[in-house]
Amino acid sequence: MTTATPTPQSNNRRSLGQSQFSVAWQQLRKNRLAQTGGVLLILIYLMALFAPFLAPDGLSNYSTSNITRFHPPTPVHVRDPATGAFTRPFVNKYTQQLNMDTFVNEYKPTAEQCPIYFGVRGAEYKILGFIPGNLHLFGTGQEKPDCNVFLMGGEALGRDLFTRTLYASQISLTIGVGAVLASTIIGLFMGAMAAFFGGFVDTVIMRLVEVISAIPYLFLLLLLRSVFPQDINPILALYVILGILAFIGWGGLARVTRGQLLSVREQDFVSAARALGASDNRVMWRHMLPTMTTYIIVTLSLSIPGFILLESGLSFLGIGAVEPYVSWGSLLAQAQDGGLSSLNSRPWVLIPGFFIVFTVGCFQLLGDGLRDAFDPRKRQ
Amino acid sequence: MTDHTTNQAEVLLAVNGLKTYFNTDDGVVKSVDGVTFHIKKGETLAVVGESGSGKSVTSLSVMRLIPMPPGEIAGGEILFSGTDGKPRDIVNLSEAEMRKIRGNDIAMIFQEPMTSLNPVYTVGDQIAEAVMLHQDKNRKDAMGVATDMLRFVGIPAPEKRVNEYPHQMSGGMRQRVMIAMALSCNPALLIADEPTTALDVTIQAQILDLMRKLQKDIGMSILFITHNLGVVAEMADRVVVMYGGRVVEEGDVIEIFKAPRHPYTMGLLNSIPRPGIDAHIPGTPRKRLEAIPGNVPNPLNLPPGCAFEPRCKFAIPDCSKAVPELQDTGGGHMARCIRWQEFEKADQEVTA
Repeated sequence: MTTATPTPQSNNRRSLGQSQFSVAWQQLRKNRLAQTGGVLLILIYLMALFAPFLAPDGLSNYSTSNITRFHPPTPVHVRDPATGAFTRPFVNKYTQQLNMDTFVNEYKPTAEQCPIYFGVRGAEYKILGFIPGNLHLFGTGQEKPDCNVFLMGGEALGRDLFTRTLYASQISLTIGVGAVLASTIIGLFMGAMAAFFGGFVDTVIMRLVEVISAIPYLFLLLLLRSVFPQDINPILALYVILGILAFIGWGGLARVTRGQLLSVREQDFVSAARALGASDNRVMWRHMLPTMTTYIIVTLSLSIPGFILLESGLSFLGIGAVEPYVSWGSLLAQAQDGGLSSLNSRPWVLIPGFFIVFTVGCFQLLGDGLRDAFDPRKRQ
Repeated sequence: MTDHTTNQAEVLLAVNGLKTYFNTDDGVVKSVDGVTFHIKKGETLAVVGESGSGKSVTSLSVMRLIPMPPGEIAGGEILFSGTDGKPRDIVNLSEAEMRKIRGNDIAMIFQEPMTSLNPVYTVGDQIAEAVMLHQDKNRKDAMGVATDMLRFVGIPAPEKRVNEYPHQMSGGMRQRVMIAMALSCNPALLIADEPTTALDVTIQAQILDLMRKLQKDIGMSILFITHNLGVVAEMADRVVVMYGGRVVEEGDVIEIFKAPRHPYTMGLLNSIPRPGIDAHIPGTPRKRLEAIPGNVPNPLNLPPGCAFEPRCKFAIPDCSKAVPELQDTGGGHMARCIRWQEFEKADQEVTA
């Protein structure tokens, strides 16, 4: 060749090249709603990550001597009722008394104050499963065992609902994402196999997709869950749920992947890559699958809320997270106890539902933003 | 080989009796049916023909890029003399050996520069990929080669352009990138499948100039596939005219343009407007441009005799009896027509 020896690139002017992602990122930065959704999601995930620290109590701590079943939320006071001056935040201690007319346990605040301390030592925990600690953001300390702060009231066993909700976010948020990731991997793999091998493999995979989608998903979920024993290890149960969700979710993506790959296969740049001597493997991984990136990013962000809702639905039906673990859906299941009247007497049990709505809303905002950012027709 | 004037040693690619068939539900489509031609080192051979005449399938067969199934190379041989100079039959090579040849010894540029580049990688990445596939170079060196190649094909500011994406470039620039990619491994043979069809005329001329210049610099052979006879006249040393999956005429470019010996070639040449000769004289009725009547025959059932017979204005009953042989009309010029002597005679009478 008559060209000179390769000259090393002196400066890397990456900024000049505008990749699809840099364009999408610029577009996303203009979308305030999507940004808000994204930032809030980051906060929610941070909250889930540091749930043991933020929560005043342990995941499943409750007193057996003083059962605080459906304890009402305890308002936090910052003024001393006697003097009216500012003081350390405190909550009142509550007593419970059985109303002999209605046979309902009634909680009444007493004058006794339970001061709230910041950075108290309390229940032991491990963040991410390996960082041990016993420090909590706030709490009433250990000197008065019956003195508790219930920001969002108590649940059926008298455990702190705020604590439980924070811990539940860990499961609700990871199962959704985990199931979507798993189903994406299965879907991509299956779709790629169907497109690549064609013929018999294609037929089998596509008919399997149709069979799965032909069965109502709730029955399918119940059926699949019933295949596994009911009394398995609670952690294992979570993985089972994740696997089941992934299993019923991959069909749509596999179809789209297959279709997309079949059309990309006919594109000139694939022929061009082959003409350059690229192997089938290389053509598949480097030239064909990357055309799916945009689609996958958008579907991922838009299907995560669906899976979060699905998991909540499962937990609500009692086949999701098992005690002592808890998800937002299984917390909501307790709202069923006692029928609708219970909602009048203890509306705070609905609070986990707002977390679901909030998270799903954030994912939708971010997903819509991503879709618009990657859509060339919506460019500004 | 039927060409007696050629020394075997300098033949780079010899296609002998190539048959590429496609097995469809309706029957066997004989896209390429016994095609024979050769390309010498440093030569440009143009393959001309209508859509569906088998030009592209021939080039894809040489690259062994025919989708199999439904396609198959049913017969013939494709002898390619690689760097060692020993002719090897491409038809019988393993897929792994073939991958080493593709891009390295034989490179290809496609018709559509708009879709032939992968939109998700920078052009530098894509040229570097070709380099890394065939040469023992790391990414940084390969990117250096990519920059040099872009400069080589005349892209301004290649250091910047190397990091740009295909969508940031115009059609002509992309075709230059495609050429850079194809030439990055210094191939012995470049197959150009209608490389200028999708470009506007000024860019066409630039690209053709570029290809000629690069050919001179590198000394490669070009198999130029086109239906544009203007491009053929400008680029080719020799021409192969294809019709219905067969070679109907082959010869030196000047010879073919001056004295075509097959009615199809004559029809093609007459269908070009010639501004000097056909100039419209005011007051006289406008002359109609001559066109070849009819369409390309359905490749599923070609006529039993000469494939061009149904459209040929010189057809005689003998034409539909058997497929005519490719006959030497002298000086390496071959034609597949039973009446070529009569055309020659007519030509001589006109000039005499």
